Parts: sequence; structure tokens; C-alpha cells
Amino acid sequence: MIRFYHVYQSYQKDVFALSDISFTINPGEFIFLTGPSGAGKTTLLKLIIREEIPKKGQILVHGQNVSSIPVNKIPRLRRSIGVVFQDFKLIRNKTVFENVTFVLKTLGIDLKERRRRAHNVLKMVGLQHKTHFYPLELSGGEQQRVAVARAIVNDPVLLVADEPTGNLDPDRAADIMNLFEKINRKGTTVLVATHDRDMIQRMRKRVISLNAGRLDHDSGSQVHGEEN
Amino acid sequence: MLQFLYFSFSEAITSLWRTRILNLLSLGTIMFAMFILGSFMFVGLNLQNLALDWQKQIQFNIFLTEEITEEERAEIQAYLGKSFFIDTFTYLSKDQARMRFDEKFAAYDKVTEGLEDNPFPASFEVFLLRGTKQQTYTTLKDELSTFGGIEEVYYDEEIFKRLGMFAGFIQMAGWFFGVIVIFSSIFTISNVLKLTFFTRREEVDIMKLVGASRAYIRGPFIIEGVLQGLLGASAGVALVYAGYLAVNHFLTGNATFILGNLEPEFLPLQWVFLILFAGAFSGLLGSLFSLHQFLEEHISYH
Ligand SMILES: Nc1ncnc2c1ncn2[C@@H]1O[C@H](COP(=O)(O)OP(=O)(O)O)[C@@H](O)[C@H]1O
Ligand SMILES: [Mg+2]
Repeated sequence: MIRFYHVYQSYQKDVFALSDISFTINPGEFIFLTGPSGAGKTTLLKLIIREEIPKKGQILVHGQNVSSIPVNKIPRLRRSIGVVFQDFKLIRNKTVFENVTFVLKTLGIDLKERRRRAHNVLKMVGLQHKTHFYPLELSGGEQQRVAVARAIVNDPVLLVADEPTGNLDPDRAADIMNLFEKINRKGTTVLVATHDRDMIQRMRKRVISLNAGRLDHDSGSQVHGEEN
Repeated sequence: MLQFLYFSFSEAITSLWRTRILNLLSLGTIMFAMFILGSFMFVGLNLQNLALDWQKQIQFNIFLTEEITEEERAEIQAYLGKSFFIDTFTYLSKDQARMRFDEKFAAYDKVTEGLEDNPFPASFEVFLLRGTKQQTYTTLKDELSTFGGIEEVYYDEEIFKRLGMFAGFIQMAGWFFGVIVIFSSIFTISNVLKLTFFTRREEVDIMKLVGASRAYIRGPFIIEGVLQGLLGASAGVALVYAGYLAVNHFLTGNATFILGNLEPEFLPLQWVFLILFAGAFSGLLGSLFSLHQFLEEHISYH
């Protein structure tokens, strides 16, 4: 599903945001990616959706080498991955409904179906009553939950979330984690970057920890599928 | 394809409306530029009309000899009747010519009073169609001189020289300023559009990150630019029309001593379409330029 093979990334010469990262994530796994801020979590996630290209090493996602896939295949790759961005990345002049269903609309899915799906996911994150609000009319926590709804609306094969509970109170955070578990049980691979130690301990999942761009510790795969 | 067009139009129209305050800036720019272009065309068109009207007043006179026979006169008349370029012609007998002179120059009636014989020749007064080339006048003159019973064929060649210079000047100025106006409008408009679209770079980045394909990002922006261009140009044409009504009102309300009885003419439909096209085209260029920067430079697909 995801494989990193001696991956390096740097933004300035000789300063590595990631160095020599190797791991494999199997289909259906639920993984926490942790480490102090600045450890390289966001950078790693950016590499997976090909927002960035690594300086060295290979990355396979769904069996495709993301550094070398043709440009016109990138949108499809990104659509197969649901992403909750650390800074939400909601479009300001679109409503919650439009933000959540934008990609569905580009795929030609009709309004009725889009409404149905938006209603479902917004209910899951407890925002069904804010469908026609604009992002700036919502609190940070609410915006974050819209980002979660958008990430899961198209039934992604892989869900990637960058500190998705960072702006939520503990109860809401637990709700979102339960939601991720539910999605994971339906077969979606889930990768959550967080520095919330309590949550990680509670959930008892595989943990990959980074420190200063290096892979510090990997608690190991708990799913024994064939490597992908 | 249909789905793509539907998508692009619905996104473009929503976005035009949502960012209407910002869009007023580009809309206003397009309107202003197209108003300038339209007014320019309007003035040029009417100056040209004016020149043609002056030309229409050129008299083409065929003075007949004293000895002309009835048949010769009939032949000339038949010839004039057949000619394609002739708008109207009238026969003026010797007596009518004298009478007209007396009427016109009543103060000088002493001049003709004493004359026993009528010195005025009979003639045909011919008016050629509006816009007839000087060459046609010459040809007509040459052909007529082969007829019997004609003393002299006369028209004012000087006028043609002056009109030719005037028309040439209008045309040259038209091309010169027209090209400048068109290019600077397109340049200004696409820059303003680029500026307003620039504020939406973030939006485009997000669309890319959530997996919208290139065409679906481009489509709405392009349609939006074209629609903005069309809307602005329509508003510009409307302004020119308002100007036309005002000029018309002014001219009918006032003595029109310089312009004769010229009625200003509004831009023909093709020109209106040309202006709308220029607006749409600059909108298209503006959105293409900015998209090129968004799509290729920032969070890349590469
Ligand atoms: N666009 C960038 N330009 C320069 N440095 C960056 C950029 N993005 C991240 N970094 C640096 O890379 C390192 C890892 O950052 P990041 O992946 O955001 O960490 P985390 O998400 O774990 O907090 C940090 O030192 C950060 O300053
Ligand atoms: Mg981060």
C-alpha cells in the first residue's frame, strides 16, 4: 500500500527534514505517525500525496512510484487518498457543502447524490446543521471537522490525517478517532500524524515515530498481509 | 463533455457572483476600455459618413450646346437612365437655368435684365450614388464626351482631392489609434484579471491537492474570464449607445450648421460583435495567463 525506501527530503542544502526513512504500510492498517513538532510528519505526508517529490529514495503508493507517475495521473492518485490537512485547506468562498463535495462534482456526480453523501459525512462529524456556512463562519474545530468530512466523502482507499484533532476538545477528538476506526474497519488504511501521546496509548495501534527527520521507532505491523 | 461544460459554467457563475465586489474592478476596467474602443469606432464611422455626405453633394453637370437636337438629347437621357452609378438626374432647360440664377442671385438681377439673349446653356444635373469613386466620374465624363450635342462635362475635381485626403487621414488615424486602443485594452484587461485571479491562488492549490484534474480547475476560470470580458464589453457598448443617444439628442435640438443634416449612425452590428469579441478575448487571455502561473508554478503536478 505505502512503501518508503531510503527517502530523503530537504528544503535547504544539507538540512534534511527527512533522512533515510524506510517503512512499509500494509492495506487495512491503522498507523500513528508521531514525533515532536518539526520532526518531519507533515513533510512525510506531503510526499505521499505527491505535494512534494523526495530528494532521494523511492516512494510507492498503491504500487505506483509517486516520483515518476505521469502528471495526468496525479489527480487520480490524490482522489484515492482522503487527506485532512493540518491547516484544513478549505476554500474560503465555498460553503461547507461545496467544499466537501467539490471533487465529487468534478467527477460528474449529480446534486442529489452529492447531497446524500455530504449529509452522511457531515452527520458523522456532527456538522449537519452547518451545511451552508462558509469556512470563516466556523470555529477552528468545526473547520477541522469539515476537513475530515471532505477527506472521507469519496470512500478513499487511504486516509491521511495531519494532526486532525489538534483543534478539538478531548471529547470531540475521541469522536473523530472512533470515526477513523470505523472507517478503518471497513477496509480503509488510516495514517494519522499526531503528537498526542495519550491518544496513541489509548488506541493501541502501530506507531511510527520520527525525531528530527529520522525514523526513531516503528512498533511494527500488526496486520500480516503480503507486502505491497 | 456536457458534464464538463455544466460544471465549468456553474462554478464560474457562482464564483462571479460570490466575488462580485472584487470582480467590479475588472468589470469596470473592461467596460472602460471597451467604451473607449467603441467611442473611437463611433466617431470614426460618423466622420466617414460625413465625408460621404459631402461627396454626395458633388454636382456632375453636362452642359449642352445651343444646336443640340432632340434625338441627341434623348440619347443622353437614355444613357443617364441606364447608368448604374447615377442616383438622380434632372434636365435644366435654358429658361430654367436663367430663372434659377435670378432666384439665387436676386441682388444681381440687373446683370441679366439687360440681356436680350439667354446666355445660360441647357444642362443635365446629375447626382451620383453616395460613395462613388472618382474613377467612375472620370469614366462617365469620358464616355459622355463621345456623345453629340455636349458642350462640356464638368465636376469639381478639387473636392475629390480634399475628400481623399480627409478620408485617408481618418483611415490612417483609425488604424493607428485603433490598434493602440485594442492592444492596450487587451493588455490592461488581462492584467487586471490576472491580479484578481491572483487572490485565488490558494483556492487553485486546494483544488489541486484534493485531486481535481487540470481541466476541471481551468474550465471554470476560463469561462469566468470570458464571461467577465463579455459582461464588461456589453456594459461598454451600452455606454457608447448612451453616448450616441446623447449626441443624437443634441444634434436634433440644435442648428446643425457644420454637420449639415447628418444624423449620427450607431455602430453596425458586426462592430458591436467585434467589441464583444475583443472583451471576451482579453478575458480569455487574462485567465489563461494567470492559470498558467497557478498551475505550472506553484504546487506542481510535476
Ligand atoms: N516549505 C518548507 N520550507 C523550508 N523548511 C520547511 C518547509 N516545510 C517544513 N520545513 C522544515 O522541515 C522540518 C519538518 O517540518 P514538518 O514536516 O512540518 O514537521 P512536523 O509536521 O513534524 O511538525 C522542520 O524543520 C521545518 O522547519
Ligand atoms: Mg506538521
